[in-house]
Amino acid sequence: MLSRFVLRRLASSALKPHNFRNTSTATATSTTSATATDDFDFDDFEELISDVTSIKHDSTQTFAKLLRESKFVQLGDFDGRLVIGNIVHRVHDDLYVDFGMKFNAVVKAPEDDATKYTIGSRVLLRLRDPELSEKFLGSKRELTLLEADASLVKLLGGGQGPRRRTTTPKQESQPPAKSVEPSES
Amino acid sequence: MLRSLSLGVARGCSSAGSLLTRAVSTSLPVASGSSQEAIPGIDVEPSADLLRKARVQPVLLKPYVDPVLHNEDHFEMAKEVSIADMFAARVHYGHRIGTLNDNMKWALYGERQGICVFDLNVTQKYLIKALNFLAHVSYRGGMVLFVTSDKANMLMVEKMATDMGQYSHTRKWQEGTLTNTGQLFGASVRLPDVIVFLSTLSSVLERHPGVVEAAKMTIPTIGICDSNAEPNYVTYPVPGSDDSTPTLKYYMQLFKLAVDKGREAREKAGNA
Repeated sequence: MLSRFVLRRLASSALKPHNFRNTSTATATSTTSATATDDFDFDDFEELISDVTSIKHDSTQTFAKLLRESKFVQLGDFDGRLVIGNIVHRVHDDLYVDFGMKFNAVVKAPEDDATKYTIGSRVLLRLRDPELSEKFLGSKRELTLLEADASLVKLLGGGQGPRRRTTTPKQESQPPAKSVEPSES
Repeated sequence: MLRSLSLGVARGCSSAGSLLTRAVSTSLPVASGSSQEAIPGIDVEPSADLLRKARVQPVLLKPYVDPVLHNEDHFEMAKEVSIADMFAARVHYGHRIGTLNDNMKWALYGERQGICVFDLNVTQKYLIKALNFLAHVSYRGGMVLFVTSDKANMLMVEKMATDMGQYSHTRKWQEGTLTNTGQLFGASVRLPDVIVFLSTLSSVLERHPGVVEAAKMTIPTIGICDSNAEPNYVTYPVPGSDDSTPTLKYYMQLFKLAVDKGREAREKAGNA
């Protein structure tokens, strides 16, 4: 739908524009000759813009639907999944990485290129466990460590930069700062 | 920690005001006859007969109660709390199923791969109740104390609490902070009118001692209860995650909104 809109915007400068609501799936060049008398209504323009931009922000989705379509459910079994996170804190060589789930993962920065792992950098992690918790002998409930278990794969982006800025809104709109590599099993 | 609690008027003489009459300087005659209905806006005391009947039917006292308290969602917090925002703030993530407290099962949607998931519809309902209560307390000029043992987020909580003109306690909780003020602080101290627990568990994952102390001092509490928390002594439990920084930021923004709404309504009522 977006590409058709762009084509017509370009065509309208050269050829006479027509009413968008009455068009079929045909391209701009073929239909302008047939309905050349229709005037371009700027009220429809606003409607069309709002249609295009409001696709992603559906605030009427139920919780069940949001959960079912979330990355959290898509990931399935967490062991071995590749996730992308941001470094939120650093203590010497320990990096605290936020990858979109409840807890941060704590990984060691490698000796070479340790200075490149700054707060705000994007890193690729191999997730093992989103929450480390074990049951100890004699206790009724498990004891949680309040952190995730992951191993560092590589550094992706820098701390500040245009590349990070384009992905930040996506990270914030859904819980994950995670993406699944196609080669993943 | 002394800076966190203000010295002033003792709690017994707090200016919270009674619910039945609102700032009455001129006393009006008591309404005679049980059948007479009070007209809203006129401060009339209910008759003894009506009070006796209200023991079994409390709803009879509704006309005598401040109109602000008639609607459950007076401050319109239902508009501010949306499922999509809560989802983006990761409120629905719980702990592992092995750490689940039996008293939190009512709030769960289920578990996914061993991780508990909160039902955000339930969370929304309880969060709206808690926010309205907080706004009402702020409307009456009450003191709010924010308590958390989360060392990663304590500075953020302290800052946001100060920004809204309220108080916070994020360091080690001394036993007797609320119950033994005479010995700990010397002079008599004004206690908070509501305590908001960003996490009802202490750093050793046991029930926070402040919850029980507040219950002993009859201070209402609002508590974010995670899946491993105990919601028993909390007045307004809010089931949800209490661990991620974005989640706590989201809660604090909502609490700030509630406190600000209450304060604005108070200023407006004071000016009117």
